[in-house]
Amino acid sequence: MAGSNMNEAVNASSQAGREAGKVELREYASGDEKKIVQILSRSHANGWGDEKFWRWKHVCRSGFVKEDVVVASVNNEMVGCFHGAVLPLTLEAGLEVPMNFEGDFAVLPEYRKLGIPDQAHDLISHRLLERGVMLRGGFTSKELNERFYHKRFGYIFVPTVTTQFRKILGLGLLQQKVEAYGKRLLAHSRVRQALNRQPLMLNLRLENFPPCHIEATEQFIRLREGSSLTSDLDVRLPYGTLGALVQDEVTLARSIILNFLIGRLRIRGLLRKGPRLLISLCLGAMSRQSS
Amino acid sequence: MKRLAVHSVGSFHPLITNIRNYRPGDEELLVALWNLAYADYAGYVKRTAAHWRWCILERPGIDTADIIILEKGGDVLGYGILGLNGTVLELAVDPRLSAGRREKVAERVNNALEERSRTRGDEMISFEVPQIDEAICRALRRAGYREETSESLNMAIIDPVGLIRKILAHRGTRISPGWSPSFLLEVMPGHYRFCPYRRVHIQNGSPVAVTADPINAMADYIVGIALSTLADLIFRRTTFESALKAGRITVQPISGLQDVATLINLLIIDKPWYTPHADGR
Repeated sequence: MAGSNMNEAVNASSQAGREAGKVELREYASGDEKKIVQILSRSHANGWGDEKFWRWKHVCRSGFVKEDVVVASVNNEMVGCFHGAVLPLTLEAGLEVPMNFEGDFAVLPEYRKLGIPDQAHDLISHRLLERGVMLRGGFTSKELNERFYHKRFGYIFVPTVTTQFRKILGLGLLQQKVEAYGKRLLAHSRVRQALNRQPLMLNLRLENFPPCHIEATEQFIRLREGSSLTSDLDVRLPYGTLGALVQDEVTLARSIILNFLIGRLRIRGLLRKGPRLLISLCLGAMSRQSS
Repeated sequence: MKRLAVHSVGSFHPLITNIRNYRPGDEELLVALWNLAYADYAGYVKRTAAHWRWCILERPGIDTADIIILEKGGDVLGYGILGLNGTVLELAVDPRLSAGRREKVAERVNNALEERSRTRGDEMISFEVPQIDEAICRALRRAGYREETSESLNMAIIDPVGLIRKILAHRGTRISPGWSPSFLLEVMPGHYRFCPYRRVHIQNGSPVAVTADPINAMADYIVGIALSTLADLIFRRTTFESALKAGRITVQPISGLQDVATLINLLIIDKPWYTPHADGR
């Protein structure tokens, strides 16, 4: 389920929406595809997909009926869409019940807080009941469900044994994270001043990854492929540290410090070059302070 | 145990395991393996060849090279399917193998999926598997995977009458012969916006009769319950005892507590809940 979209649809507000006319709900009709995909794309921060993907996901599915897609209009302008797919959910061997798997909920930002999701929820529930569907639901996080879907609609998050395993394969994600983290660091004038006096070059060795290095100057902090011949320090990171990348910078920093303390993160040249680098960085930071 | 038909045409040497990509006609074997591998679970869409073709083969961005099959002598031991952005849509390993062999199968399928993912330039690869499947989890942990909490399926009951009827009909053999009390559930919405029936009558017998909003129905016991509480009980978010203690369920006369507890026990979905990425996303 597009949890954040539904949440935003209810929480956000706009003057345009409040002044809008009556909300009308209807089932999908041929020709709606382009507008539906536009609404989905506008409502998903990272984009949604194209018409080809939409057609596959919805109208090309065996058992699709037009009622599986409900669109909301205001003044004959389509402003929202809600999708479902009735599929047999297994409850135990030989016991399958029809469930509406929902997702791709979206309401244009200027038409939020009009209660469109509530109206769509009620309409869809009535129609599903008429079709003999017994359950409805979608994918969301436990936290969002307890905070929103459960209180508003009664959805429960069934205790699950589903768990996710992740592994980072390429440098791209790491580069984005380093750049984002670097921008935050460089927002502090003392960090910029320190790096102005003492730019840093760190060679990184990561298990299963090609060699790479971090360049840190007063203008940027970035991760680049290949080893640097002029590195100040060589850092060897355990793969486990990278798992923290999918979390946030604080978790990443905590993971790095912890791994350093327990000796899994190794820094070559720390004793030889570390004190000089530290003094240089501190002097840089202090010079900013005194000036 | 009965041998499942997960045997492919054009078999290789019976003692050599072979890893390959999908070939037309494999879907029947893969669907059979999936349904066997997860027969003891709840929470997923039962596979049919037609559904699988739409869900996997016709999915935009999926190539047959993304479908990795490990076989031995033509028997499919396991398979995995790589979706967009390194998301593994399905992973199944033959449950009839020993734990050690299952781990090795999972490891080989994972290695092939990972290689394919690297070739495609994915930044990350992710699996959603049951955490109680130790063999698969061990294989992934050993390969350097990190475990995270994931999104999962939430749900609401649309038709309590249909659901109760379906569950009790399926579990008819569990009902003791001669146990035939009748119940009238007085259903309140609770957290539900949509509560289609306010009274549900259940008459045990053969077959069990479940009716919505009956007129002048007589019952041995009257049970006051919110639809959200009923969902909590069926899907094991709470127990009958806890709900009773918290006042979320009432029984009249009180002498019917044991029979109501028996009824609720018959409705509980007790299989471990597992939903793969391919379902609904």
